[in-house]
Amino acid sequence: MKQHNPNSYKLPRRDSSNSWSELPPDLLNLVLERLGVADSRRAESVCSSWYSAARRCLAKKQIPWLILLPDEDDRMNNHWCKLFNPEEKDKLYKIRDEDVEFAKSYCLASYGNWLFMVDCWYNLYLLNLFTHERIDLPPVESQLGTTKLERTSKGFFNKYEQVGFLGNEAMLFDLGITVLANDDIEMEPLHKFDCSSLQQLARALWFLPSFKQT
Amino acid sequence: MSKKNIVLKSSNGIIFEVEEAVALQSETIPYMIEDDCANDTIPLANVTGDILALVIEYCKKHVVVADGDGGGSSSSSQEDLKNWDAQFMNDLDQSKIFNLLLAADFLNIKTLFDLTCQFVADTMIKGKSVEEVRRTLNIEKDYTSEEEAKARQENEWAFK
Repeated sequence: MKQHNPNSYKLPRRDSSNSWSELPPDLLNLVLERLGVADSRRAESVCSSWYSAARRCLAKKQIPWLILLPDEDDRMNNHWCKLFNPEEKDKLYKIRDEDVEFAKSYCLASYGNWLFMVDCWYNLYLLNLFTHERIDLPPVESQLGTTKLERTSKGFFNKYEQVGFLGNEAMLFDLGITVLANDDIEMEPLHKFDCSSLQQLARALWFLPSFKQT
Repeated sequence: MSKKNIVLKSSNGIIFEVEEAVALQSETIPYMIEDDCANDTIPLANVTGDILALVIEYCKKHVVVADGDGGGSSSSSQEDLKNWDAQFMNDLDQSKIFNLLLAADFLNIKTLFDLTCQFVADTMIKGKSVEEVRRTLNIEKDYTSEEEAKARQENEWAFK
């Protein structure tokens, strides 16, 4: 990512009567809505009037992002994942989370900023990428339901299809609750796991971040 | 056909006489003409002379090009106009840009307003750190340190 040189933009401080923090909110909105998401998020920190204006703009125009997980054997980047925003084509945002082994995890589905993750030991958890909140879900064996799950002897899986028995039968309802469907209920898989032939996209998934004001 | 002129008066009393077509790029001015200041001078209480001069410079340029080849849609003149716009904005300091934005809004000149908004976003905010934005736009931070830390924490990823 581009490094900012703090001295690269020098303008003399002036004691003019105008103040960009006092720009009427509707005008400020029209300026800020021309920014990409990261610039918008930074604009929130400039001052309090910009905070509310930037939040309003951002919620209005959210498009899906791509999350890129490191390769399974990438020990160096185990705790990193990358985010790609199609609006900012030359940038990749890096997210670090010491509590998550991204290289050993798969993203099964997403809801707003929450990702439904499974690691190589079949532990299921929900992860908020931006706040780093993590909610561990009960082990799959302990789930109620008529479907009995068993771990395979190998323990590891390499492709998304191999967790198909989870993907097809586990439904992510709202936030934080995973239930297993009965066999006799016909339902669409919540998510189709796309194994792209492109190496670098093999562990990528679209998700729709939500930056709405809470 | 003789061209009708319109007289505009800035908030600090400076008089500008412009062709009607130039003035009518503002969607506000026609209302003011209808409101019966037409025979006299149109007072613009919100716009100072130096900013009004810039607005008129912009409007003159754009009206000339629009006249030039029956609509100004040829790609080379569009290109020239874009370059002219870029140069026009580049020559302004942030205080003038601030007042130009307000004037373009007040006078309701959509292309000038869009140009100014985009310029502010592209050159004064985009890709800059919070401190740079504050310095560039001369904004005092009104957060307490705790509030700022919180806003930053939520957006931590965007600062990398």
